[in-house]
Amino acid sequence: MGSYSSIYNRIQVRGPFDPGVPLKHSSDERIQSKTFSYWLGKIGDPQVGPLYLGWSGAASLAFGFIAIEIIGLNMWASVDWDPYAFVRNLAFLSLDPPPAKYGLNPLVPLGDGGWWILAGFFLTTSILLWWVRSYTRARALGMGTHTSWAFASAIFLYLSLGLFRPILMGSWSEAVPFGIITHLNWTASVSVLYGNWYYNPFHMLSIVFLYGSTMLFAMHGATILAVSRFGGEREAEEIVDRGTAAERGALFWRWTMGFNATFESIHRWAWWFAVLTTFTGAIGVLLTGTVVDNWYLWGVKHGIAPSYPSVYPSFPIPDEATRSVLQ
Amino acid sequence: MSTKHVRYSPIVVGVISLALVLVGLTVPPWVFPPIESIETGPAAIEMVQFKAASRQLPYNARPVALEPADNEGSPQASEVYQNVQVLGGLTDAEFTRLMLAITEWVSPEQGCEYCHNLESEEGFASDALYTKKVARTMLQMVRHINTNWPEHVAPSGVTCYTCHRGQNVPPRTWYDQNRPGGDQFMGKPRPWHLEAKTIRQFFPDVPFTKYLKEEHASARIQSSDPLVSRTGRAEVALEQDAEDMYLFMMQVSNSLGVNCTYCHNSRAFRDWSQSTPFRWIAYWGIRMTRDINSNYIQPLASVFPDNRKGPLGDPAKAECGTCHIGNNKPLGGYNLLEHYLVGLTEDGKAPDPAPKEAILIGEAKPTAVTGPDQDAAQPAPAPAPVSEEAIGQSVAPGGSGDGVEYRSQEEPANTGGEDVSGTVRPVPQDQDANAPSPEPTGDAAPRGAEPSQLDPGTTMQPSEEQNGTEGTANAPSAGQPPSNPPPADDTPGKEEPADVGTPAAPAEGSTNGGADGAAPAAGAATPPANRGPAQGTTTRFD
Repeated sequence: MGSYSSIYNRIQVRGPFDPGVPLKHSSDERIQSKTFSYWLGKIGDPQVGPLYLGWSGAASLAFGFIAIEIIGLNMWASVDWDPYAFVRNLAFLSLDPPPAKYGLNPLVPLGDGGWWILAGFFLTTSILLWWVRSYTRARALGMGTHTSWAFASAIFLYLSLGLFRPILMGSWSEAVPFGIITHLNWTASVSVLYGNWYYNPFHMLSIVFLYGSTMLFAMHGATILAVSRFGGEREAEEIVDRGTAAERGALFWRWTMGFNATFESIHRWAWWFAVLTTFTGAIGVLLTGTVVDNWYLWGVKHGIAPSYPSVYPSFPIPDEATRSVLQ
Repeated sequence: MSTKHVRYSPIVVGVISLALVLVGLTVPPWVFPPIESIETGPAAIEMVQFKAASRQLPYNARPVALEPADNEGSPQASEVYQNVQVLGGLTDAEFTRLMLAITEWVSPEQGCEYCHNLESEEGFASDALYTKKVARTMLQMVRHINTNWPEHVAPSGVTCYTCHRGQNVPPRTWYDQNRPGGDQFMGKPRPWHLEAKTIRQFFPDVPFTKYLKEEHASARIQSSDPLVSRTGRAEVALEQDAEDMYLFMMQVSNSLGVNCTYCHNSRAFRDWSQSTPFRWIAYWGIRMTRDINSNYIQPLASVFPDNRKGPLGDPAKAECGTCHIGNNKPLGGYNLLEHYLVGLTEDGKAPDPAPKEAILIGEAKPTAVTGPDQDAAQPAPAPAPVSEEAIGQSVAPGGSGDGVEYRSQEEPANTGGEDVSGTVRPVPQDQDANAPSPEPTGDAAPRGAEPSQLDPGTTMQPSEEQNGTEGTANAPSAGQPPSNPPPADDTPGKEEPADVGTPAAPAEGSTNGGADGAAPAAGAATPPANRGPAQGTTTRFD
């Protein structure tokens, strides 16, 4: 147990190949690739396999492959099929949604954003099929479906950005482009466009849960490693059969934090923080432009944006700067 | 004991990690402290500018002004030369001096023959070379800027050198870019500058076309209401327009070597009442750039040969960085114009500092200044370095085969040392010998010049109408927060051509704007009564 005391992984469990539990509902045979990987064992379980594809997994991979192909080939085409330019510029290439003039028309010329709709369709289908797979595989193993619902929360944010909000706004052009730098530029300009997204309370909540997730993850991981010499790695058992590891960990947090989670509740805390990160973020996305136009002014209206002392001389304001955008 | 198993992986991993660390330490251009920070806003909101004293800006050499011309008894240039359309009212001596200076600023290598076809029968009068016609328009442009855009260029004004920096073509220019069409694969290649050294330099030129011409897009992208309209429609610009605006602002920021908070309170970019006065200076600068791009540079499209034009057949145009080149004041505010007022202004007067002072009237100094004086770190005036391959390298129109358009070279070409090997050598001068040229009188004085117009093309509204609401932040402000010690007072009339204040304080123009001795010194800078709240009160909502 002392092996857990170091901060890197020193344990590689290398028993006989474990084929897993017998499955009742699966229609396909598992793919038994009976191998072990030393390097995978450095960070996780060295055993590779058995694998399982199934109809949802196979379809998901196929749709995902098509989506990546559409995005990649469009990017490559945009540099005139120059392989060097493609690699060098990869971070800056983009596949953009249709311009605003098409509204929500699904039949957009391919070169004017139709490829973006296709890529979005295939990518979304792939992701949803992978969610189906995560659900059915959990059921097939007799597990709960907690992972699937956490995944669904992330999918909700993804769909809010790329599908739900564009539909609410009535235009595909509101969606995010496919591209590394370009989606970051989209993020920055949308934040400015809607008057500073940092004043969006759901953005605030999302950040709270995101940072809270990382903190809970670090606290929990550290606690379990720290009490592993007392058998703390048997977390699930100590939920109901509290041992000295759980007691020491609990006492430690009462001493340092004044309050402690249990070996069960810490996992619920972490699960909810993670799920609410993307869920609150998605709500913030869906409210932007549909209900709230300027989050900074919303913050002023509701008293969360403080005013600061004036330090500049009074100067005239340009006439045109005070007119509204749409005039 | 059996043979011990030697494990190589830790060694391999260790060596690789060490190599990566070494690369990370040595390859990137680290900037080491101390880094000066200048805070310009209310306390604790981090409206701060950073400057690294070690940072060297490109093209930052300051040329020395030529010896004053002896105008005594010198005939008018129009009597001596033929075909002098712009500068005919100058004396021959002043005219020749200015021509020599322009040669030093623009074509130090090629000399007079860069613009004048001396082999033709007409000699200097010949308009055979396109460069001559361009130079004439550019002279008119410089005179127009100095006389009609004091809001932006006072007090130092502009000369040919402000943009040209010893190059035939100014080092930083832009061309119109092809908007991607929708007729093929969805290629929307933005012309990123992939050889950039910083992330800001990656940003493409496309927004210049949109915002730096007379026909320009609206920059007002944000809504002035917290909630959407009653019909449920968002009152903001399209996201694509917002991104172009964002890119344009990043270009401005990069051109000036400042960040967003030099002009804006970044929590509410659109709110003028929270912006710094420098936003006004930039406001006029953007309009000035539109003016010269549309009225002076674009009409030259028929004059320029093809190799000087961009992919869409337009001449190389100006953006903020064309003059600024990484400095919030071009050349650190070095006033070269005051030595050439007669030729480079329409009325022979230095740019009127009054409009800018009206903006900065509270002497809007930074609230806290840390670190040494910025301008003290500026290099001393020196002859401009001249590129050996100035023509060949300063312009690179056309594509490079990968579907991405690049613009002109950004870094100085290899200069052959400080020695200028062209036909014109700048005369090394004692500073004291460089008094401004005497103001021309009588027939030599420029005719028909009108006093400068305060606000070309745009109306201004006094801020009372906008700031009607009484807020909590309406304490009268003289631009100086009470909790900070006032900066050292600049003695008016200091005998120093280079400016002396901090770069964030253009109000110092009152100390050296008067090359002709008539400009206001300290007396004219009396702040008028303050006019109400300047911050946080223009918000309106239902």
